Amino acid sequence: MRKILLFLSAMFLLLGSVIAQNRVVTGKVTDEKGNPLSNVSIIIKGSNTGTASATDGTYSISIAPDAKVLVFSSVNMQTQEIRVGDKGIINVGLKIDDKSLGELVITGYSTRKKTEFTGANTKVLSRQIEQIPLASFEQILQGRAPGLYIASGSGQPGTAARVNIRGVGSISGGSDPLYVLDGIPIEANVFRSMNPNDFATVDVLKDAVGAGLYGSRGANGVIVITSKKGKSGKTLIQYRSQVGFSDAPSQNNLQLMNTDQRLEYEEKVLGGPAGVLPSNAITGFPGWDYSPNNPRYQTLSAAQRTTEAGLLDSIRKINTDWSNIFFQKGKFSQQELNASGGNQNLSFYTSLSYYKQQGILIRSGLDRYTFRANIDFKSDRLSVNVRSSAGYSSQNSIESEAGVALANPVAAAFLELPYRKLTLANGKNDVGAGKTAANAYDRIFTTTAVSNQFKGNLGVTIQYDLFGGIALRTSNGVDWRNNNQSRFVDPTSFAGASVAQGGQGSYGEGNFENLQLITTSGLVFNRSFRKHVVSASAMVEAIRNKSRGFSVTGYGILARLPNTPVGITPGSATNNFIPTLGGAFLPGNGKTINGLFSLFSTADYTYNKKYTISASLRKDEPSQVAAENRSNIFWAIGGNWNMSMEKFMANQRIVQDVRIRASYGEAGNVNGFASDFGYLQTYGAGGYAGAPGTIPTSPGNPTYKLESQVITNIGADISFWNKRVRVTVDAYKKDSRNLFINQNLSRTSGFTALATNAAKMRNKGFEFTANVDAIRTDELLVTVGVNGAFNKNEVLDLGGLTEIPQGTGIIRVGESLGTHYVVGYLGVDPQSGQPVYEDLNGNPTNVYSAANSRATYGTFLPKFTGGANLDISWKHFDISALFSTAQGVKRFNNESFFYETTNSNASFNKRVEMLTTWQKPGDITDYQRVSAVRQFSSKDIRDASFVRFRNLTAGYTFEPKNSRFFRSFRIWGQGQNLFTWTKWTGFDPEESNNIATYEFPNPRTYSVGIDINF
Amino acid sequence: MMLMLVLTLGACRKDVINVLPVDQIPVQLAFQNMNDVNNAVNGVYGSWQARRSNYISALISDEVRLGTGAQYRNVGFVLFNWQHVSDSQDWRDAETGGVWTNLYTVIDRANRVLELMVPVETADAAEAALKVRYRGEMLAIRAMAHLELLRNFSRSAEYNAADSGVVIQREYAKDAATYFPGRSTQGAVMAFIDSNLIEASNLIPASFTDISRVTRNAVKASQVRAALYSKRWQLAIDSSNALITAQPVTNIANFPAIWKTKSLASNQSTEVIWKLNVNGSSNLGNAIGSLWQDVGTGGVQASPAVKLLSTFDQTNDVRYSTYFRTPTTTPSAPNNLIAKYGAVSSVSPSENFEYDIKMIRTAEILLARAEAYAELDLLTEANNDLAALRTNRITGYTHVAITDKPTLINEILLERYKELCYEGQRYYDLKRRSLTIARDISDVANNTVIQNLPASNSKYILPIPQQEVFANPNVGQNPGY
Repeated sequence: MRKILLFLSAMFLLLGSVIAQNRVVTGKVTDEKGNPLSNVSIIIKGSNTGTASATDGTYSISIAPDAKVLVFSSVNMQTQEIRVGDKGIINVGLKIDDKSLGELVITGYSTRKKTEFTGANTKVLSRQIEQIPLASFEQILQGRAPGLYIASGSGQPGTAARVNIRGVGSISGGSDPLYVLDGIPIEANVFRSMNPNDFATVDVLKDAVGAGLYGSRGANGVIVITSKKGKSGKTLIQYRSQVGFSDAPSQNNLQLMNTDQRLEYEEKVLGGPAGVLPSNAITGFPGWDYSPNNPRYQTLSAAQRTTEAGLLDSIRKINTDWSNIFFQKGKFSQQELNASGGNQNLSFYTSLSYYKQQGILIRSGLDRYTFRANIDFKSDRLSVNVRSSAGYSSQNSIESEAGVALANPVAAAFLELPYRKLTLANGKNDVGAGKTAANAYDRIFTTTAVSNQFKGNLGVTIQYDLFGGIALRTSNGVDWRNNNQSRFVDPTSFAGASVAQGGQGSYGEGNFENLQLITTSGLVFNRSFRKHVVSASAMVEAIRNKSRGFSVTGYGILARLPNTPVGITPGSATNNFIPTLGGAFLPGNGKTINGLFSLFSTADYTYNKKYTISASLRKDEPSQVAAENRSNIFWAIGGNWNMSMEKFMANQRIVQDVRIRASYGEAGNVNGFASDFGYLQTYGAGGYAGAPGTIPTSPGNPTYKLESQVITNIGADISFWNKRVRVTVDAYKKDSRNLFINQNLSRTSGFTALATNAAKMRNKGFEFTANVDAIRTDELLVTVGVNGAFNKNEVLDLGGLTEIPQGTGIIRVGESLGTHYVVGYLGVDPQSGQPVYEDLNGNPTNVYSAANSRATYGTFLPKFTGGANLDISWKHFDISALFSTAQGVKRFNNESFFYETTNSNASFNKRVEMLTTWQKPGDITDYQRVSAVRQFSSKDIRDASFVRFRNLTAGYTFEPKNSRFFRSFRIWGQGQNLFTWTKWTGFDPEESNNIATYEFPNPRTYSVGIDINF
Repeated sequence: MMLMLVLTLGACRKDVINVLPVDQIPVQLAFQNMNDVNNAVNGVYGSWQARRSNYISALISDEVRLGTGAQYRNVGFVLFNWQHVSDSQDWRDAETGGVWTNLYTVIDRANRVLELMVPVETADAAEAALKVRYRGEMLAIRAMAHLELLRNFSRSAEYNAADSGVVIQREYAKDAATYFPGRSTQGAVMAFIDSNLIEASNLIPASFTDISRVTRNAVKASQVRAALYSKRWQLAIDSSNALITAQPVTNIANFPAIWKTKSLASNQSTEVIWKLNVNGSSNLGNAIGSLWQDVGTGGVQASPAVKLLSTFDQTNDVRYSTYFRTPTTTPSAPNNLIAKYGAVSSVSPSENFEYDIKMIRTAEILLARAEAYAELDLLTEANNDLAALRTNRITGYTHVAITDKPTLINEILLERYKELCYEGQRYYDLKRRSLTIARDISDVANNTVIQNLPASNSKYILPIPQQEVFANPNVGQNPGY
């Protein structure tokens, strides 16, 4: 880059020299500390005339009499404009500008100037990423980039979120973006063993010229992460520390019954004339059993009545808040030491960190250790960049996370009755059949679910400059991850006795590995002459991906040898301890492999800083399709008109930047394959009661091919008010084609579904980002930013079908993906107490029929996502706030199905409003009579839109003038997930899928920290 | 150096993209020798989740009452309350294979074996004979699955040759994506079943006696079941005679062992004609006992109907002590257990229900012949068969001949109710005669709404699963759904 600048500057100097009657201005350019800066571009504003500073920082420029302003600019420095007046010597001290990183777009294959980039991207900088108490880095990006939708599906520390760039681009295949770390692709959704503090920038590439560079991998966008590197100069050492805690969230818009309410419910609703409980027996529901309103009461003697009244009274005194029992205050701390530095030829960045976070549910948590070493070497012609990181994390999970299962503590907190007690008189947990919460609580301590992850990432890029701007470049890397997962069930516990295989606990362990190797090699060309800047490349790339998993669960655990495979009793034909493959918490046994071979070429051309066109052409051959469908050609083209460089813009001061961009091209979705060998008709393993056997596993599909997206993007970047207002807008259309749909098959075919490339879908939308430096003085800077994205998803074609119903959802032509499909619910008939549904025409009916399902209840994919930030810095103080939102989200609330169920599930706790359940003709209520079956209906579709106060950070930076020990330090405090505005009922509206199933809610976290620079 | 790298990369192109699956067998490689064929045949047997019929039959009819209290997890709630609709969980694929999906999977896999085994070369005469037998087994299992489908999904309750039956699968669907078959008449399906069974009985040698697979006797027994279902009484009698002689019913002393032995070797009882093995951890999800009681906790989901319990001579009938555990007729007693396929109780706290599924027993054949005799007014023969069974079940039983035909037939059906409870027969027995499902008031918690279900009620017949209707516009739904 510097060479190009130098080249340009030299040309400008030549041009400048032909103008007559000029005078010469000289001076010296330094940094803030007075060190000379070389290669700083010095240009006369409004002209092409300029020069560059020499190695000692000095410069000399010849200026025309009408020249008014000199512009000093350099990479990594804040651009400064100085009025010339009649000065002959102008010395300038430039400030370091980390914002200048924002002026570069890093695509992973190359680096482009933002002003010449033809695509749509958003850049997130390290200061927006660092020190957020989230272990999985992608969640930190929420609300930071328009069109980047991030939905955390779990508050379990370390769990990855759902990430979609510009909507969901695939129906049944993966729609994760491609993640590239320092040029090496890394596994999606496995970030918990990486330290986000190591990241300098994150570039979100959203369109054909950015993401499209990646061909068959780029359709869903690309997230390019660039880790920090050292700068030449003094070695910097930094120590960073933070501690804090996480709090349980409270229920939104939902109150469950307490003991008094529950007993009243049992007496008046479950029992009573319209109830379902018999009156001639003990039913197990004390509110009814011991009620004087129960006809059985009349048959009792006075002594029996007294006894039962006493029993009821003792039950009434219990009032257990079950969520209080399962949730905890989770501790959090993070420690990090990093160092960077270098000389002219060599620089380094290295960091060590420790991260410990307890979840808000007892037992959950994450411990992480990371290490990174980055080394850059540069000589005359050769440059070598080494990026390496290793991380280890140990994650403790709760039981049956996000499962509609009684072992899931979140479910237990919802479902258990308030008059139950956790412990018996002897202090032991009151476990046993039907003891929902006590069983779940006991399991916390008598079982384990541990996932230990080791992740290593290594990338080496070598470039050798040949001649005339041509260089040979090779990039090689490996991304490797191994999860060692283990699960222990204590044989002495109730959970252990409940193990089907022998009832004496279990121990299971397995390793799950993913390995990706990549090599990218070829020629690159970068050259500028006169007004032309050209860069091009021709590369060959090969990627190999392997994953495997193997796990075994053994039984009959010796109580004195817990949590180790040694405690397993060998299985025999009679003892029921025969070990099993896999097991709970140990999914994914098997091996698979795929590969991709590519040839590609890119070209960028900029004329006179005004016009840029860029193009790429790529041939990708993925292994996952039949040989005749392997050759996939992708291309993209884009243009950028930097209008502010035009002459007619030179003499106005209203707008500083106007750039108009457009791009078009196609990219593929290699994530779309459900299987690496889906094109083959196959048999697989399937035995008969212990005898080996084979069964058909795939019907095969020889026409199986790659999903792809044709992406069109038009955008503009505008800044005005002296660059204090910066606006970026983009409009896009993404037409996905050859999308796989699981065509529902007639069951007579032996299969239930076939993946066919039959569907087409469109995402179109509009994105905006606006940042305003509302106040900008020497001491006070107030910046307000908003970003948002509207996305409209529409299924265009399902290959002859008009719709594919999928349980409570439907994929239908003309509707958005994720559309709910249920029978409409109108209310409760006041006369009969029966639920009233809608028929296909929306007319009331008492008959529930799945055939009356309609698709008019919205989708779980948001219509609008966005974020807003406020950053204030005043002297040494800074405050920043971040809000994020997702609007137009409808989710199926499976939880409400339980706490509003009438006759079945009577033994689970209900919401308080269930006391108004219909009991007699004339009752106006939304809760049907108990004897009527509660069906899934539109009543369970709830608005899950939310606005979240995502983060508030306040800090104080102190830079002592003459300290021998440290250069500066910063103390700060932050709150994460401070408040949520939502209509949702439940702990947390934010979730990554269409249905609420007692997910681990996202925590609210507070922390304080200190960064010390030595 | 880098040029070399580029060249090497070019050469490795094929290595990178030409990969074969590790975990799956491309179909061209799946059938290479007779061992492969045997494995695929095993795969067919292993696919049949036969307990679905036991479940449907028990829940919809008068064999059980539902669990109560907190341990009851709503198993069978919808079916028991006759609130089933076409997408009730009981018909969905996820529920351990809705019975429709599962049976067609069995049929499809059998069809694939039948076709894909054809080119497989046999090494010697023994293998050639095996190949013939495998074909017989597959034809038979295909026929039996069609019969099971017919019993569950015919448009009419009783057999009606002209009315709509189920889809006949003569071969596997070559292009599944465009395969939308319609249903054949019950008569056509029955003709297909008949011809398959006849061919199978000629192909399977009498010397093959592994009752965990389909033997010639099992084919004969299926012919009896088909004949009874289609009211071909004489055929039922003709097909039973040799079978009852060859595999007589077990006596009282040996009867409990049939149900208490986890994996019954073929020589342990002559009475079991066909069974599906439930063995080890590989297919415990197919165990029948875990339908009624939860593994581990023993939570009761269904317990024996009071109506059923009260039909037994509780002291002298060996079936009473064999089929039930700690039985009491108090409605809410949770220790009232179905023990036919094991039960979790203080006696066996770590029960995992690993008992073979008895697909056909001689007792059924004997009662089928009795019923057929009675229908043909051969009341003496019918009485003899009924007495033969009871003598082998009830200590000190003396038979008093029943001379009234309807009474005799009712007695035979009652005996089927008692003998074959929880074996997936009761509902289909009622259905093939359009008899009202009538429950004891104490089995329905005094809820009279779910006490009687006459054949005229649309819930009496089962819906075609909604997923099939969505996928296949030609299949047509049964009335009322």
